[in-house]
Amino acid sequence: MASIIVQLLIIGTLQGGIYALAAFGLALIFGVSNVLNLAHGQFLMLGGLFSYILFMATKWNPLLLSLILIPLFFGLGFLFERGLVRPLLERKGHELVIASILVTLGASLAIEDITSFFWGPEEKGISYMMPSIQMGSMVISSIRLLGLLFIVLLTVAVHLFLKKTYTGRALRATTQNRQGAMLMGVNTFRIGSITFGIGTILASAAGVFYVILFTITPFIGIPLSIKYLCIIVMGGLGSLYGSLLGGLILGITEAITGYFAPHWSETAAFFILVAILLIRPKGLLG
Amino acid sequence: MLQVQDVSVCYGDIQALFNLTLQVETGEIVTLLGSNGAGKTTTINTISGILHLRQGAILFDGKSIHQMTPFRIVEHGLIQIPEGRMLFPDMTVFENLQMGAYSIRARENRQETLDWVCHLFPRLMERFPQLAGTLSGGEQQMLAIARGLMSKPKLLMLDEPSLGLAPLLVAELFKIVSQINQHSVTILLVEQNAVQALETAHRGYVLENGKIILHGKSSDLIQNDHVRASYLGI
Ligand SMILES: Nc1ncnc2c1ncn2[C@@H]1O[C@H](COP(=O)(O)OP(=O)(O)OP(=O)(O)O)[C@@H](O)[C@H]1O
Ligand SMILES: [Mg+2]
Repeated sequence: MASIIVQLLIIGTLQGGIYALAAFGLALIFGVSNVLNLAHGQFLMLGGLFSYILFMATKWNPLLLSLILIPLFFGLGFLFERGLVRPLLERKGHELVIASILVTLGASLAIEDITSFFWGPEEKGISYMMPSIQMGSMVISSIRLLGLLFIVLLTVAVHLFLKKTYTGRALRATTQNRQGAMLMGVNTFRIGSITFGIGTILASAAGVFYVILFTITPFIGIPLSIKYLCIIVMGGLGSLYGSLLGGLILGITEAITGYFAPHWSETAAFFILVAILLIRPKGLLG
Repeated sequence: MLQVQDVSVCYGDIQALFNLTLQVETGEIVTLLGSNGAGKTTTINTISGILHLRQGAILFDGKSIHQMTPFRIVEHGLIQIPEGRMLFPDMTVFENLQMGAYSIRARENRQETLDWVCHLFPRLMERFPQLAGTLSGGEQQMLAIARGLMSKPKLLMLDEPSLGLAPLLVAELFKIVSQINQHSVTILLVEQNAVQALETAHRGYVLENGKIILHGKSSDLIQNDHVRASYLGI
């Protein structure tokens, strides 16, 4: 029993870590641009797909392959902002929110169609074997542990970037007061593009872990985007770190309910969301 | 140093500034007086590049700046301390000051600037690790000024810095404005607090309904009948 609990906690934390990573990216983007990016889940799907393609071609460790994706997805997110999001920023308030939902949803559908056209609609997964770790009577998958380590390292790296660098501080300043940041000399438009780049890296990295742990199809993107929106609402809109907590809670809940009552795991997630919002209307850290 | 020439600004269809002309010479303190809704904030937001002008030109150090983005204008040393402070509430006092020194221009000798700022505002130094959003109103205003100074202004524009401060603090604030000016920073001071603004400034402009209706030496404006009736309550 103890072994099962530990396994569930590991898989729950890993699953939660995947949620947290991608949701953190979405929270950064929303904080800086006030744009609800419904294409976020597509970048996760594409991250998974690209690492699958690279893995099939090389058979290298998929976690190492993910390092190649970092500059690629930074560029993709950066250009996505420049091309599709920047023109919307002339609009204000709810007009901006609605316009951003329409444009990013449109982009999502296009990405979904293109990927299923070129790479087919079937499920893809990477089954990469690594020697397991034996601890007493427990066997722990080392690729899962390594995945967790990667997630923690990435999160810490983004955290240090936000705290210690000029650009990172400017990013946080922009989320807190856009005009104030501009008046300090921050090019808030450039910060917007950089933030999309970083957010997209986080989504694609989550995609790498996703394709190792589960399988991907071209159709997972939009439902995932919606799940990430729920997570950042649960964490508190405008709170960057609330999304990490929200993601972890969701992942662990899903893993535990998924084991004991598989059909209820998705529902449990939404129960938790509603419960948290009833108790704390502004989210966990909002 | 700063020349605003025949500038008109609109919000949509509503015109807020009409053929506004003013100038600030190096080393001066100039005050821009006006009651609520006169167009003071509109004026300095236009100078800062936040708003776009419909007509006219703005020159700073001889260069035309009215086509520039706000962040480029900051790199030229033209800094605004905005109405409502616009601090970064979830960042510490120290991080807010670091953000002040964000521009490339301000990053050089930022330690010296910080020493000077701490000398002007010793209270802030004790509060470096505190979140800016948890400071008192007076402390927040001091932080806003300190953050602006960290940007190494050649010309500093302050938008109603005395708003919401207790009388004692207001007196201290105007003293600090003079001290900053003695440190060779030119100042454009937007105020409703006409008495103290005119005592501190060398010259003044009076703005009503988006038009400059009067300008001159502070000592002359204090004697002016219209100013006395409308702004000094005499
Ligand atoms: N964003 C805006 N949209 C439309 N009209 C605006 C906007 N901002 C200001 N105005 C209008 O422009 C005029 C000048 O406003 P401004 O904020 O410049 O006044 P002010 O002199 O700074 O006043 P206060 O002392 O109250 O700050 C006002 O009539 C105001 O209603
Ligand atoms: Mg104003």
